[in-house]
Amino acid sequence: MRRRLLAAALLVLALPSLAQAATKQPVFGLRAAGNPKLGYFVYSAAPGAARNGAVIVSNSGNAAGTVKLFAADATTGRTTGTVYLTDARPKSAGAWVTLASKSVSLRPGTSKRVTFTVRVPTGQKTGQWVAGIVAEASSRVAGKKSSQKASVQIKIRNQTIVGVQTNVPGTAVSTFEIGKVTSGGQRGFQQLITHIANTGNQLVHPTGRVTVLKSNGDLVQTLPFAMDTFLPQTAIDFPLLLKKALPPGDYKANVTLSVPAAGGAAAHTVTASPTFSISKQDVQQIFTSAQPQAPPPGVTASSSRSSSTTWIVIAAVAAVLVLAALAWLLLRRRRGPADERRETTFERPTAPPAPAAPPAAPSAPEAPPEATEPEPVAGDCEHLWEVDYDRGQLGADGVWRFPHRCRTCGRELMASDVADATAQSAVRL
Amino acid sequence: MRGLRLLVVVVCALAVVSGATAATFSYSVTTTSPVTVTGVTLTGVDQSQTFAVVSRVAYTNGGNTAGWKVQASATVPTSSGHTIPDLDVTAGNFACVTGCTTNPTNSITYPLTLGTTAQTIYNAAVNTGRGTFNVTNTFEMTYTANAFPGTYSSTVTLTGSTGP
Repeated sequence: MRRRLLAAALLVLALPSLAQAATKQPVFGLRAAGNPKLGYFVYSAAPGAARNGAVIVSNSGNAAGTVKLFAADATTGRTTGTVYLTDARPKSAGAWVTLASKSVSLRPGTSKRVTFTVRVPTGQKTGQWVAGIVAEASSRVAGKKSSQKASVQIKIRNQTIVGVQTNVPGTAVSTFEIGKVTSGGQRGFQQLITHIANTGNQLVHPTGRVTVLKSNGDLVQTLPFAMDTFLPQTAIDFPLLLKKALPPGDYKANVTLSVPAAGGAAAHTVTASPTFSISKQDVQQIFTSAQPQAPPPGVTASSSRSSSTTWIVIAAVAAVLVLAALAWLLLRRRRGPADERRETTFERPTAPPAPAAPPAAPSAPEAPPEATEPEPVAGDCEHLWEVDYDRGQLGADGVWRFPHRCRTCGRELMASDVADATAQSAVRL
Repeated sequence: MRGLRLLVVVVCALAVVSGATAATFSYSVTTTSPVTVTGVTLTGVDQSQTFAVVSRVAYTNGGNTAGWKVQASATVPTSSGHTIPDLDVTAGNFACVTGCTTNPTNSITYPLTLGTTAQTIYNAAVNTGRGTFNVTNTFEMTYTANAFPGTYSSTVTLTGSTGP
C-alpha cells in the first residue's frame, strides 16, 4: 500500500511535463476590424438604418480548429457589467446582427475576415443597445469517469466576444428605480441584496452606498459600492457582502445611487429606504452549512504580479506535501495499528485538526452558546475529542465553535478546536 | 490518504498549459476540458473542494481603452437526477505573460455563486489590462452532507469579452 502511494506521488509530480507535451489546441482571437481604439464596435443608426462591419477571426494556437460565430444579446450581470446571453436566442440588439459566416475553420497561425450587418428595426426606441459577436471554440473532450464515491466533472466552454453598441439617436433618458432589500448568502457569507433597475435608455456606471440601520435608527454599517456598466432596460438583484453579519431582527436600508451624466441626460441621485427583516432561519441557512475550506480571499480581488512567483509557491507547496506524505507514512509505521484506528475516529489535543476556516469578515449573528458541562468522569483525563463540524455556531467574537465531546470522560462543550476544548476543560475542572 | 488527494489536486494544477496568442483581443481557456475535481468519500458532513481554471487574455493593441471581462455561467452539478449546490468562484488572480503595459484592475468581490445566467468573474477596468495575461479563477464546489454518491457533471461557460 505504501509503495503504491509513493509511486502515485511520483507519477503526479511528472504530470505537468506530460500534459504540456500532449496538449495541442487552437486559440481563437477576435478583432474588431477598423476600430482599433475601443476594441469593439460603436455605431449610430436611426430606426430602419443598417451599418456594416467586420471581425477578424484568428487562430494563434498550435492546432487547427473550427469556431462557431453567432450574435447574442447583452444584459447587466448580477454584479453589474455587460454580460452576454450566449445560451439564448437573441431577441433584442443581438437579433439586429447578421453574420456572413456561422463558422470558420482555421489552421494554426491563420486568420479570416467575416463581415456582418447591423440593421436597426423600424420603430426601435432611442437608446444605447448592446449585442455581442461570439466566437465559440467547438472542441469538446470526453473525460474518464471517476471511480471515487462522489466527484464532479466540469466541462468548459470557451467563448470570445466583441461588443457591438448601437446608439439610436433621440432624447437621452437616465432613470433608475430602487426596489426591495433582502438578505442572502450562503456558507458563511452574508449579503445584502438590493433590487435596482435602469429604466432609462443610457449605459451608465453609477456609484452609491447602502446604510443599514436598526429599527430604532441606530447605525449598523455603511456599504459603499461602485458599479460597472449598467445597461438600459435591465434590472438586477445587486449583492453586497456585509462587513459584519446581521443578527435576526428588523432593519432599514438607506440606499443612495449616484447616476453620472450620460448622453445628454443630467447627473442625478436616487434614494430609497426600504425595510427588511432577517429571521433566525436566514442566519442559520448562511452560517450552518458547509464552511469554506480556506479563509475567504477578502472583500476585494487579490492579484499576483508574477507568474514565476506563483509557480514557485505552488511547487514549494507540492514539495512540502510530498514530504508531509512521506513523514506521515513513517509515523504510521512507527505507531502501529492501534493508534491508527484511534486517529481515524477522534481528534487528539496534541494534533489539532484544521476545521473549516471561519469566514473572516462576518461576525456574530448570535451570542456564543453556553457550553454544556456534564459530570466529569475523571479529573486528569486524556481527552479524545469527537467534533461535530456540522453544528458549528458563530460567536459574538467572530469565531466559529463546534460541539466537542470527550470520548474518555464524556465532557461536552463548544470550542473552536480541540486545543480550545482542552484548555476550557482544564479551567473547569 | 486525504493528504495525498490534496497533493494530486495541487500537482494537477501545475499541469495546465497554454498557447501563445497575439490578436487585438483574444481569450482562450488553457485548462484542459473536462476538469475532474478530486472526489471525496461521503461522510455525512458537508465537504468542499476547489479547482482552478486558467484562461489567457491578450489585449495587445496599444490604443485599446475599453478594458475586458471574463464572465462565467454554470449548470447545476447533476448526477442521475441528483444535484449538489451551484459552484462558487472564490478568487481571481492575474499573472503577466508578455507585453504587459498596464496590469488589470479587477473590481470583482468574491465569493460569487454561479448560475445559468452569466456574471463577471474577473475584469480589467477601462484603460487597464493591456498585454497578455493568464487569469486564474478558483472555483469551489460543495458535496452536501446528504449528497448521493456518483459522478456529477456541470458545464461551465467561460467567456472573454471586450465591450461597453
